[in-house]
Amino acid sequence: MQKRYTLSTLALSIMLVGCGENNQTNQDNQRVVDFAHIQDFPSTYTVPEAEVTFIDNASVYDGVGGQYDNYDIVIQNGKIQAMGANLTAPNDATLIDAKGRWVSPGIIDVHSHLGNYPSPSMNATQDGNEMTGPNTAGVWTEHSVHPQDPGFTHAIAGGVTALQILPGSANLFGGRSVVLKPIVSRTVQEMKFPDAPYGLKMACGENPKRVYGSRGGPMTRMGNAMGFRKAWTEAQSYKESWEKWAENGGDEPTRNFRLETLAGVLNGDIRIHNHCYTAEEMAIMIDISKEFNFEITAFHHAVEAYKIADLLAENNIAGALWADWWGFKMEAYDGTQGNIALVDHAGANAIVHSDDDIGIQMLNQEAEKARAAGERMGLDIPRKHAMKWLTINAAKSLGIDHLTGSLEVGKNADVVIWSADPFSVYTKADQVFIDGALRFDRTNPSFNPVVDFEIGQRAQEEIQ
Amino acid sequence: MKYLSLAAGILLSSASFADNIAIVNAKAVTLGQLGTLEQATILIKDGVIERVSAQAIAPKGYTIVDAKGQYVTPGFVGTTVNWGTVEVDAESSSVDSYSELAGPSMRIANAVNADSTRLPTASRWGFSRAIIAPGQGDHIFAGQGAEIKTIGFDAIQQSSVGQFVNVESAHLAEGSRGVLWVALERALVDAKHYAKNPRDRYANASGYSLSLDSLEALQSVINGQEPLIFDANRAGDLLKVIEFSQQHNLKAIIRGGAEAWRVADQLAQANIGVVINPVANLPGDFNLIGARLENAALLEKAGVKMAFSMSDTYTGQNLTQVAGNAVANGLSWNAAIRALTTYPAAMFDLEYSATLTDGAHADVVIWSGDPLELNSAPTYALINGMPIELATRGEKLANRYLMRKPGEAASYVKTK
Repeated sequence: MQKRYTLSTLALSIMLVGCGENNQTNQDNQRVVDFAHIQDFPSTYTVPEAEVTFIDNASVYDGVGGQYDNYDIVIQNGKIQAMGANLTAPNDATLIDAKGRWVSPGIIDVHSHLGNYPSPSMNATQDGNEMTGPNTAGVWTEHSVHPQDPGFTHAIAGGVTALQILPGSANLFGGRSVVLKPIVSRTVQEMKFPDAPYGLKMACGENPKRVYGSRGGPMTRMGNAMGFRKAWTEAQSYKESWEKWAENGGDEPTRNFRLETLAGVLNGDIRIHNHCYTAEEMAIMIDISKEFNFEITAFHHAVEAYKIADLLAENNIAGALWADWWGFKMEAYDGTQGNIALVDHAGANAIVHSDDDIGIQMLNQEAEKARAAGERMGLDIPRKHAMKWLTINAAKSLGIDHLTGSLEVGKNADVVIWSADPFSVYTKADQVFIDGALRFDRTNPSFNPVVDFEIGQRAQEEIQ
Repeated sequence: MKYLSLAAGILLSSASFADNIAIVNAKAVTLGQLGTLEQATILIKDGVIERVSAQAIAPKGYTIVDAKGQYVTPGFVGTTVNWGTVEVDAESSSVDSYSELAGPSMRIANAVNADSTRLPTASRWGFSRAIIAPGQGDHIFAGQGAEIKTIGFDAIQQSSVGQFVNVESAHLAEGSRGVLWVALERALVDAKHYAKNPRDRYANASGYSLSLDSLEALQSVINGQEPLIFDANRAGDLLKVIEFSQQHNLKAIIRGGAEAWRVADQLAQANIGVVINPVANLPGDFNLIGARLENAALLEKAGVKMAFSMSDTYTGQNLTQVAGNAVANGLSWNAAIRALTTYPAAMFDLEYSATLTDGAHADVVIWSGDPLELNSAPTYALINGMPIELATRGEKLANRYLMRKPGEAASYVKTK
């Protein structure tokens, strides 16, 4: 289902219309305004028939701050059916003995380029950055995703059950993101997380300056800010032209993909994921969001988030951050391993992200480095709390926290069984379930996914 | 709060400069004949380890440092890193690690900035020494690596510990392997000829394929004093390295080695060590098809010495982390520690032995737990017997913003 504004009768009254509508008129011939178009490339993801699974006697991080010993979990019909101590296994259940092992929600990476910068990295596959102009809000990165990137099969082996693919950061407006499940398939549609809202990638700072400084601008940070404000002004007019049409009729405005995405932000359907490093630029972006009345969902990378963590908390903006990346460019020079802990300490939504095809395989380790850095500063951060940085906090920023991101009854059974405490460097994901279906099993290599590229490659065949 | 005691610790450290130090109650990973001791005492005098004792002893005239039963290791070695030669990667004015003009005579030792903020992010994580590699330019030869300690204007320990060559990249000016290996062969033949004809320095130089500076720089390679470090990954290239090294009687090291596990027995037989990134497991290009997490474990099984390196090491912890990952994928813990210490010391013939043994450099690190575990960190470290400050610029910045009170301008908050 998707949210659309119906303006034929009452201005801005909200009604829900059926899936699969692509035109701007619904079944009742009402004129509707839909900027998000979340069903233009509908998800064809399916959940395989799965047995009832009973995870017996595990230690559990539930992803919302809880930790339990000797817990049982029942997975049925793709959902968490029951959780607790000393549960009775349903008759038909597959039993998994998890004594001595740990269970957590599936890890969610909010910043990945798997698929749009796939392995192998070839000239022919650099599909993540539409560097043809500073505003390419009209591109949708799902149109670039190669579904058979081996990065996906490695990510699931690291306990990842959902991930957001973002366009690159060359442009002020990079384009739309897409949220996927790491189920390698023939088409990207088969991987799409059903009903996940779209995101819009924006970028502050050095990258747009570097790419466009000699190509007509922006050349400076003030040029960046002007580019943002100009675009939002246009988007406001665009949005109004559609709203007027919906109210008054007349000629249907011409669809403009670039402005449509921005208008989708202005009406609250599309989420801003903003690559932004420095404290002062984040503060400017917050004011721009107020000027044009939209919300910024998350600052990504945000190496200086710790300097304005209170501003992030006040404005309900998440920090999607690395544990320790720093120094690779000037806007990353003030990086600190304390960043995530300080953002969390201020009460803002802290998220551990990867932006990396290796890092996505060890996000649990990245969280522990960040947690330990916080503890060295004197902050008290139990592991059950740090688990939120990998799960529910990430799900919130993607708008899928009602479906996944925690082990709670009724939620999607996105579950990882770890060989031991997932915050140890020596721990590995043993089994990974997505929507209740086993999708990775370390104990059964012949079960695990391989991508087309690996087939018939001698070195790969020697591994298998 | 902990940062206050950290600051106090620094003051104590500088006060105890040049003292004789006795580290007591140490779980000492000596990497020497004594193995790992549970209750060891380590006596340090004049910058060296005077004695490692399995017994608890407390001689007079030594400042006592209680390790409280925690792990104590020799300082680790960062292998083929760029610490101190790059401050900010994207700022060319701060990048001193490579040159378009680079060739065998490029000497990275000249480029090490002892005041770089990168060095404390290494020593903070127990890395007291490093092999600095020149960055890869456009040609086969990248130049000579250096052995450093990670603190002080006297950081350089050896100004050359090996010559770095790339025999895989299609980005090289030489383009094809068909040209590249011929050029490499030619360079060595020329270097040998030059060795016998030193007067060519002043005459008859025009027939050589490389500059005379380059030929001079290659002398230590052709006479087997220093290794040639080959950047190579695919199994066929690794076999070629073995063949070429034997043909020219070279001491060889392989860096990259993604498919080293496929030719591990041959590498062991040729006594060629490998510098790998143990978490590189994706087929990033057609030289990396067989990249896998079990590489380190399979090399150990075959008896190949290894060290760990990554293209980006944001802090020294990245290297202990990948070592831990190698252990998670089958490498023994002891081999992982040796890959951070004695293996690179032996492969590159370092001046530093990376052991806790009598007479060794007193680079000693006390850890809060297992050095490879993510929540453990050094709590105390010596380099050449001198206590070093652990706090990095990043930690000081974090503390500054943690200590800031609402309404207070950050610039008035001073932390050390």
